[in-house]
Amino acid sequence: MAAPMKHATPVGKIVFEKSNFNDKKSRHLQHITDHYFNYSVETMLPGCGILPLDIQMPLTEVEAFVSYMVPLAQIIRPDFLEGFVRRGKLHILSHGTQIDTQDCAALLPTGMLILNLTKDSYEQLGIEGKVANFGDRKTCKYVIEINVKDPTFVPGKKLYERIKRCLTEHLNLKFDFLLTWGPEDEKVSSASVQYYFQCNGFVCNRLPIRRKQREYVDLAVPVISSDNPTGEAECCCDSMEFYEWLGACATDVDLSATSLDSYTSSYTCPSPREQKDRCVTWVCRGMLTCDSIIDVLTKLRQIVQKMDLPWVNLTVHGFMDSPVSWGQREHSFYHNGDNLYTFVIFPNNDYWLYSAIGSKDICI
Amino acid sequence: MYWLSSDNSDTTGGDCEKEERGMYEKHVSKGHLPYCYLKVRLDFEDDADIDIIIFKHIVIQAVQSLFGEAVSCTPIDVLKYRQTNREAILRVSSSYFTKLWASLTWYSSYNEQSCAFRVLQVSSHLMALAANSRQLSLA
Repeated sequence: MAAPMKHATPVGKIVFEKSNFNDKKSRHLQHITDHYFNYSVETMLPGCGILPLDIQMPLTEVEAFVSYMVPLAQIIRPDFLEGFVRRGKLHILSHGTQIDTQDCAALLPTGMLILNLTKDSYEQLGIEGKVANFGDRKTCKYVIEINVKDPTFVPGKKLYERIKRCLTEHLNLKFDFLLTWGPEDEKVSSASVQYYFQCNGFVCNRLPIRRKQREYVDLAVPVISSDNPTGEAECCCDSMEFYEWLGACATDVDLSATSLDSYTSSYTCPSPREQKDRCVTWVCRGMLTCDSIIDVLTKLRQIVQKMDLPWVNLTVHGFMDSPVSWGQREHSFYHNGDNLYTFVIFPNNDYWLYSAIGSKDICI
Repeated sequence: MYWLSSDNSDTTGGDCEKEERGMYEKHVSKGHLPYCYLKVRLDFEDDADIDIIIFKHIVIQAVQSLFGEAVSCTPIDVLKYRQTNREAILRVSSSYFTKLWASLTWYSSYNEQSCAFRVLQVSSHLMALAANSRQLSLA
């Protein structure tokens, strides 16, 4: 153990950005809307004993569904394309298959159908794709991208007919799908997509949204300054140490019990720190839409100013087996399937943004 | 069509209007991050009562048996431990991460009781261990 293994593959990457919400070039909204598949949202409010109700509202109102054993050919049917894909923001993600070794599929709201297939499935299917960036020769994966929103992707056209034939005759790929639909027309309910699958003979249930709240009393909280993320001045803590501390809170590490001479752990809250009487964290899990996360961010920005809090944070975890991370950037699972981001929001409209990704993912 | 009527109201919020201020900064990590975190579970064939002190002792014993005495100079932190199912979050310096993982894989018995470490999740961000979408329950 004495000799460290310095050349082993890194396990992950992190991108840290500091900006201001009012900066015209700020990409915070783009960053949220490009991260299509969101599994968990967590927020922490230091110095606040009760979680304001309006933060919870946007996420608990999200209607997500799960439909079982749906053939891929079903989602390129003309009635589905016309009724849902072209008339709103549809997010579809395969569930229960692991992207490192099995077939996965996703339909993005942009209309891109992404198939991440094993070599066997790719060769049987017969649609042209490219070799995935991940994996070695043994676990070679292939990525196929089809724009189903393209006006020329309609029955009777050569491309549509060929893909339909491949998906029905060559290889009838079936998945359990998680889905959300945000219709363009406000008068239409997002539950229509559930009704569609049920009418076509598939089981389609509402995906439950799980919530959990934790309250802390007398918690030591690191002191941070939005202008000084590197922690060069001794009056504030380094942004990376702070991120680790946020992770310790999120994983429910008991920070009160640890001290430097402890046998089991040497981890302590970074310095400088201040004692907060009350803190509250709130977690929401399911399949959450980008629009609902933008609503939460907007509300948190108002709360941090209204309640005079030093900062608040918003962490979003993506699905590990999603074929994309941000936009159409390829994503996979190597040591892990990390694709998560954390906003630390300050009252002066500054923000810190941490984006954590796996070692083989492409940086944002 | 299959559309149902909606009774949801629009919940989008407004944006603040202030002058541009502050400077944009971006840092991208290169190479290894300082630590790696492992979420592990220690499974026994028969049930065993293991507290956090014994658990830490087992982890050190696992590394010692494979890589020798020099292990004592490498800090391995048990950040969190749940005694009911013997699940823990470990923190180790990135350069020793592979050796720790290998040691846990090789470890097979404690006090003549067969056991095995299951590595459930691995990341260089502690935050990443807070959620695991593979555990999403559909019911």
